[in-house]
Amino acid sequence: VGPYTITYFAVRGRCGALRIMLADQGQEWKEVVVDFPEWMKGTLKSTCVFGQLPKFQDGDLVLFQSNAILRHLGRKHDAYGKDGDEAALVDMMCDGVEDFRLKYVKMIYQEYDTGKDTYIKDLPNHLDKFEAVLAKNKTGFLVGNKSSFADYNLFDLLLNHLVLSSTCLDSFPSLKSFVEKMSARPKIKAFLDSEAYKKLPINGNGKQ
Amino acid sequence: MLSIKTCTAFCTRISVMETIVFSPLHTVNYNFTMSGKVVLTYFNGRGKMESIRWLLAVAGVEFEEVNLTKREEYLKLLSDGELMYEQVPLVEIDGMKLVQTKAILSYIAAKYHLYGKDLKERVMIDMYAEGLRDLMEMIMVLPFLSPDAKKTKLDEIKSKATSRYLPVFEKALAGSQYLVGNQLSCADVHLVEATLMLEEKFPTILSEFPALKAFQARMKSLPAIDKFLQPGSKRKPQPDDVYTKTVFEVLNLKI
Repeated sequence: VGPYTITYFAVRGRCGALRIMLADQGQEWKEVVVDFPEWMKGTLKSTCVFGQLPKFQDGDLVLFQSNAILRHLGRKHDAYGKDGDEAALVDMMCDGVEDFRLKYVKMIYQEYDTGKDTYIKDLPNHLDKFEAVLAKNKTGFLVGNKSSFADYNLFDLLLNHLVLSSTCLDSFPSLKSFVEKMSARPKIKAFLDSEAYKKLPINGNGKQ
Repeated sequence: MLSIKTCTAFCTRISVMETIVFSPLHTVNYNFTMSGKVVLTYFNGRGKMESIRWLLAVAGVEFEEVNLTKREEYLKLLSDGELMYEQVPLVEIDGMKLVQTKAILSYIAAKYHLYGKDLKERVMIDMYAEGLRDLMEMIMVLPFLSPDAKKTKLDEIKSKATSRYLPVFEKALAGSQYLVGNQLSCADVHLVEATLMLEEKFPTILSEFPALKAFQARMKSLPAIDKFLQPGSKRKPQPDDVYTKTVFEVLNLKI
């Protein structure tokens, strides 16, 4: 296992979920923090398969694409459901989270000033889908009875939304309970309480 | 002809890309492998535990302390079989009850990547670390000496520090940020600790050692060390009469 290295900017962004996952899974990892002017020079960017970060190294394996990294860690740390059918459901939930994250990211980077209020008003239409799944599953996880990478992904995105609108989960008891339980897991709590986490902005443009 | 040229050019470009190094803003190490609390058992003072406190602080490891203040507490540790050689320091870490300062320091250094990248770097680190421990040991015994013996010892410490020990580290740091292998190791941590302890006794002792002075300034600006040097940290103050008295009572020592 490992050594793991994350190369990314000094933000939570698309590494939020995988950092929380690594912490909860009791892992150690190194982070190489890239500053934006350095990135714009292009020397690192030209070595990235899709010209993007995060870059993830697991020993000699080099990965890009945040969700591929989550799935890789899911396979390595038995956080991908208990069998093929559960794995398919975990993929489905993670894809659902990705759709939701894309909407969030679009609002943050392109429509914050004009579209923030509308986005918040519209949130229940996205949150209710995940509320329904959690309410039905009853285990406190999206799929089966243990954490999967989809849970870490959703948890990270919900934390972002609570910063955007602190009351957005008030009418979604399963989501609220999910966030509380995940936040209380000792290693996740330690990570969320750390200076390293707290001082990182969520998004690259400083909006949240 | 054209395709061979293109191929070569392409291959050259690939290898140049792989060797390009960019400058990261900084690196951060995360470690959630630790499963439980780290607990130190010792007297409420520096002694042999202080180097361990320094190393844990630099490694970013939180710890709790149990202070021995009464002989009964020590006797209970003995009867519970907690102390392998009937001695403290005792450090509970990763489900183990560790004794012997050097063993503890070695474990922490290895676990938190403060022990060099290979065996040869490790032995260099050990050489530097052991020299510094010898030096710090001399300072450690001071509170337990009579006033005359203390004066003689202080003269010995000053002379040995300036003629035997500090020149070694001054030389090692000429043109190098760290003592071994261009990265932070437990030897560097011992060196900060030792030079600060020396300055407490001899405030101008580093005036003849510019590389050491610069090293100390650099190290003090590292976030973990800066935090450890702030009031309210786990760092212990210099030993006082209360400390000396407690050690004598708990261990039932005769002068």
